[in-house]
Amino acid sequence: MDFGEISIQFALISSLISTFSFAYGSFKKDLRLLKIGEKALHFTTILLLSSLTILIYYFLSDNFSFSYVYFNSDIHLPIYYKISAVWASKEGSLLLWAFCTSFLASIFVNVEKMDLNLAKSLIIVCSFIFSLISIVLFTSNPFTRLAYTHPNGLGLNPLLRTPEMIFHPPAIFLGYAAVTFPFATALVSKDFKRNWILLSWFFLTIGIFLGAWWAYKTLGWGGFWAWDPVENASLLPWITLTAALHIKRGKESYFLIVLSFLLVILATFITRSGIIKSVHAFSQSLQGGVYLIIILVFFAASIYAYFKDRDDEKIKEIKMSTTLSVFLLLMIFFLSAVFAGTMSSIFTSVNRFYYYTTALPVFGLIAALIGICFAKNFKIPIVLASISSLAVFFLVGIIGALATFIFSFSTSILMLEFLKKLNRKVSINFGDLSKLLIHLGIVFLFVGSTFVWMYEVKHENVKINRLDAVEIEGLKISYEGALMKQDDEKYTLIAFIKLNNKTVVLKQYVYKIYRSDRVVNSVDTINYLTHDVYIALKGFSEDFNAVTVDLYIIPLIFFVWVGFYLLMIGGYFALVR
Amino acid sequence: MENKKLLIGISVIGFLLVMIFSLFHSISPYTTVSKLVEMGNANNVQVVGEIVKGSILMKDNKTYFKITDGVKTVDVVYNGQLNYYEGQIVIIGDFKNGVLYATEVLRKCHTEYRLEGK
Repeated sequence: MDFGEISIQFALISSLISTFSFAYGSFKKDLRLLKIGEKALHFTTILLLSSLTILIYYFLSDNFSFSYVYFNSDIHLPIYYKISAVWASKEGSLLLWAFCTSFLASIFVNVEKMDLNLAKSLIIVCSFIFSLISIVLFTSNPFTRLAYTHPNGLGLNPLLRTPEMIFHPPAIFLGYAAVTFPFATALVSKDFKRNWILLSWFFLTIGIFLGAWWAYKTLGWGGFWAWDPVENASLLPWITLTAALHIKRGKESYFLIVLSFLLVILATFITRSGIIKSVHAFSQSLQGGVYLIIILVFFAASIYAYFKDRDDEKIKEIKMSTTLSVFLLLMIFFLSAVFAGTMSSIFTSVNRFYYYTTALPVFGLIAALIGICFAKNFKIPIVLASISSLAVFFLVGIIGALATFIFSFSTSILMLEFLKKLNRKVSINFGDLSKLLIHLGIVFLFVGSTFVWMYEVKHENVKINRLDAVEIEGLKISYEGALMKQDDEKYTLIAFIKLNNKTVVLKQYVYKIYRSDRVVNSVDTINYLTHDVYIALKGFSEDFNAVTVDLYIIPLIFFVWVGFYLLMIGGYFALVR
Repeated sequence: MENKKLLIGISVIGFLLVMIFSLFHSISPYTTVSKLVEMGNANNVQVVGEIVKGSILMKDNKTYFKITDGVKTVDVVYNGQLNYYEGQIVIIGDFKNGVLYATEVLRKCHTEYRLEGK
């Protein structure tokens, strides 16, 4: 028996106590019981934090008697990656999720005013924390010991040895955790805690951005988004949350929040149960049943809660403006397209063509609708958009022209309206600013991703011999030489490649661990405003006199990153407002 | 109001049709090596298998190797270099006359990596 495991067991009991205290306390209307519930909740958070800390300590002290440490770390792993290795696999990331939920729940009870309704919603929150902890304890305990202690671990998956890995999972899990509270209050009192929806949206945006950045810089397939089911899994709740932020009340609001929460559990089901046979998923053990049961239980509860308070003013039918209902319809289309593709991936693999013909056009319509919503005067934006799209039409073609039209139309409207407001000296607050930035971000993201997906140029397996330059896409590429370095963790083979007169450095890491995936190739880019030259190492020839690379010209990828930055900054302004 | 409902109905049906059509156009089935051999010829398949140890041969920037599922084995030709020499991989490509022409070779990767025997 181990102290980390005992902590989780006590956390399980403590979360059960808090669930019952809130349940009995709200039934008896006993304030003292509610106080006990609160204390038990804080205690759960502390216990989960301590088990997480103990797990981190085992990683830092190379305690390979634990199978989780053995499979995800080794002696020579740098310290920061030893910490992030805690959430490298299923067991640790589930524990992290449980902790994030409990931690945010502790903050939630402190900032929200305690009353009977809040106590009732805390029953839902605490029972959810209880089920998360039971999943950790009974199906994926990170404190399982091995029969004997290995002198060294198998090592962290080399693809996870990147700084993004340190921040991407916590951001995603904080986003997932924050959905729990608007869901719980929506069920109980039909209150839609907008701040918490926003917080969840904000963290998910950061998480998705980090994932995209990571994919671009590490995986070497020249894209930021592959429509992989695991990526889609985190996009689905993001879509419903985005829609939920646009409506303040009514049954649409209710079901969007319920859906967001269920999609979060579904996301875990997809990424952590091994049901999807994508390149991502590996686990053979199917514990998907547990998640499906949780989804069904909460779904049934939310349907029941809806019909129980059907006459509540807050979920009565509301009158929506035409643009808002069109927007909702488009978001539902977008959601269903991504959902259907993701679910199909369970049985077969879905080509990206599917998303380009369904989700992308809907994305375009949404980006166009942004302009239409904000516009008071269409003349100038349409003229501007026509001119720029005509120019792009002759440069690249019809899809690019359409995307450019939508982009210049919506951005010019957003900017014009904002400038008008500034001119009228109406005081500009964080709210206006965040609205502008986020909507601009979406439009930038749309035009950037359309160009990346439609007009990326790809040259695979380009072999470059030493002293023998190759010419591709007007780029003179030569292989200038190689170098080898080594440290405790790995050997690094470095190739110097010259593109015209810029030098890029490509590295092949060979990690000193016994894993079949211990060779990792790096990527380097030359960034321009209009495109990236993206070059990914494939391998060296045996005598090191030649390298093979993949070369991509990726148009407007810069716009994608600008879009993400705008979303994050805008989200931050909306939060601090 | 009636018009609005009609419009929504039409757009929903239209989008559903596009989705179904596009989805059927875009799926490519997963198979095992044994099933592939049974099928004979097949286009745009995804085959999961293991690289046969010692079977890799590189020549003229092409890689020749064999994959197996433990029962049957097929030859693979890949227009490029492999980054990994053992373990489970996914090959996307066309199967013609007993040879699998790979357009993409993927390693099963990172979210949930677990070595066998655990």
